[in-house]
Amino acid sequence: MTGFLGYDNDRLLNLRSAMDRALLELSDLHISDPAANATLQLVRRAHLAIADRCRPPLQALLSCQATTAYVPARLQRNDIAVARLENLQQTQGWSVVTDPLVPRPQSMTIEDARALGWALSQTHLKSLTKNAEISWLATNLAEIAQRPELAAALVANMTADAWKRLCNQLGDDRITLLSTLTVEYRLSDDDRSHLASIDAVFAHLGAIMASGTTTGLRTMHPYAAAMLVQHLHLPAGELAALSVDLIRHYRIGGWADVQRPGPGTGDLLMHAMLDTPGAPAAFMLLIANDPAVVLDSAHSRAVAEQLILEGTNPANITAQQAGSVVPSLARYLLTSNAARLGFYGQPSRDCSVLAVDLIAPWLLQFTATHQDDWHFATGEGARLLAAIVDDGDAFARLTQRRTEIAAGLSGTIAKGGDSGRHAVEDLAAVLGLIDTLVRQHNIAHAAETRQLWDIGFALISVAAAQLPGGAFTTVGTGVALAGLRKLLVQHGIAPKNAQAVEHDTLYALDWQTTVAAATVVCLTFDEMTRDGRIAAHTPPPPLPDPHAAAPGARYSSDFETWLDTANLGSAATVLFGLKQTLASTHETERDAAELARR
Amino acid sequence: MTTSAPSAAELQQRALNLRHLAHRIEKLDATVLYRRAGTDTWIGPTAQRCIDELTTARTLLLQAADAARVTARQLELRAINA
Repeated sequence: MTGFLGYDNDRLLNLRSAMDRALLELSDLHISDPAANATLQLVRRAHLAIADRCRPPLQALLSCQATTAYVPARLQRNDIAVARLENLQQTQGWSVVTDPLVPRPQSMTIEDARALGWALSQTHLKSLTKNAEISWLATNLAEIAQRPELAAALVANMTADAWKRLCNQLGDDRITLLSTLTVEYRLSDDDRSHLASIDAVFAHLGAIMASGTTTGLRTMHPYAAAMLVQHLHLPAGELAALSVDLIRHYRIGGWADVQRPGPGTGDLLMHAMLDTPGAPAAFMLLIANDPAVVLDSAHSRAVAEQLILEGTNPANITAQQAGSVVPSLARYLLTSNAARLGFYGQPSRDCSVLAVDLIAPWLLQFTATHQDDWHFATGEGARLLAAIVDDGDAFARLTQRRTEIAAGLSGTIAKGGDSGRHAVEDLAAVLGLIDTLVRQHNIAHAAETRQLWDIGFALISVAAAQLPGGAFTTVGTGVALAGLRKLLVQHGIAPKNAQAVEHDTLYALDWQTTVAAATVVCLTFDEMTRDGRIAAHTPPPPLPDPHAAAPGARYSSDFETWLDTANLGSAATVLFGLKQTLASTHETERDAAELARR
Repeated sequence: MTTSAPSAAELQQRALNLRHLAHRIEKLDATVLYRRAGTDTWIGPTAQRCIDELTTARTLLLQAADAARVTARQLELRAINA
């Protein structure tokens, strides 16, 4: 016994036909005479022998789809055990398959893997449709995937076309099953098992492909390729580039998953990228000039948005890189109908939340101070920001993102050369930007005063931490800022809890700018006192007055009086410059005039 | 209620039917299927088992034909004595 079965396909078909005719004849054999019972019993036994023990293996063999028990094999000329079959295979065109009647080795051999690869590459084989076949394939591929020598043998004998054909079919079947699940809310046991087997085959094929070649991924159906990509564990850059290609291929349209419910090509690829550190950012950089690739390809808006925010997070991307992505995405969100309608007629969506989330960590880059970072023309950044934050709701969302805004500010300051100077300038720039937004859109009354203060407070804390001596200090907590902290604590930090709660948002803006200036001045004063630039017994700088009708103007006045009387020498120029950067006398007087009118 | 014994003519007719049955069985395609399943069609363990089963089926059918004839002969003897 060689373990192989060789056959002439035409003769076997004839045998099956003859068998079917013989069974019909046997079924038609009747006689009513009870004396013939013994005879008919023998006839029935003959019928059973043919119908139950001869025909099923014949049928299985003739419907062989590469993965029944009969697996097509290619014989080696130098194997004497199969020489006869090999000769018939070579000279008579016989087919040769493995024969399950002879016990096979417990584990697969290299020859088995070669034969499977070869069998899957035979175009005359019918597609795999039965669950048992897929399950059989999954079991064998699992073993192959775990043994590199088997994987190499399979890959060497499996054509790119075979990969494509098999994966396309499994992908299409998977889409159909998931659609059924979505529509009917359940799957039959067989379908559920089928789906699990398909997923297992994809997992094992992916593992095998990962150890060898990714050839053919770009030519198969995008959904099938995306299923494989889940298991390739590609490096971030490679995954991102491949995902861009596959999504663009998908966007050509006409694929089975386009209008089906459930995760589609885009969703699968985006999930894979979200699971791969660095991939979202690499992907976003690649599609910077074509935002539709990310915004109009996933069935799940949430997944696409998660990828966008992950890929543009300051933790994953430099400010320079963000400059090529964030503005183009923001413009696309503001202007493109496609961004609002979604891919293939999905329900329209409100992109304003995403737009605010997108720009929140990069608020500083929209300021005039940093407009060159992203190659904005004069005022372009502010205009784009104003278009995004165009009402009270948008501003409220922005203030809710204060943690991200503060993180973005911190990241940019930390990367600057002279962090102390940058911190103050950047803090002033962002506070000024918020001030401008509030005034431009008259959103003061829509925005919660408390939120407005909170965002300023977060920014002040970040900037203060970047000043000399402020590395471990935040507003109101540092030893050097004891006086200011006491003041802020007394008034509950936010003016809403103090007398200032009766004032409008302009008051809050004025107050937080004043606190920012006072924070920087106090911090710097303490540092100068420590290093001897300012005499030890010099009176400390003034604190903001929460009871003042115009805290900024009052502070400016008190501060300048203090400078005139404290005998600070050259330190006075430094402290004045810092204070003016955050809360210039001109601005505070303007605020005071406006507050007086209300 | 009693049943009357079959007449000689009835017994002879039944015997004739059984002999026709035996003849039909012997002419069935199933008795020669094994010839189509030889080594010019296929070779291997499954092929061998199939040939064995087809040979068994042929044997059973020939036994069935013999049994039908034996029964027919018994009915004919009863007809003579009826």
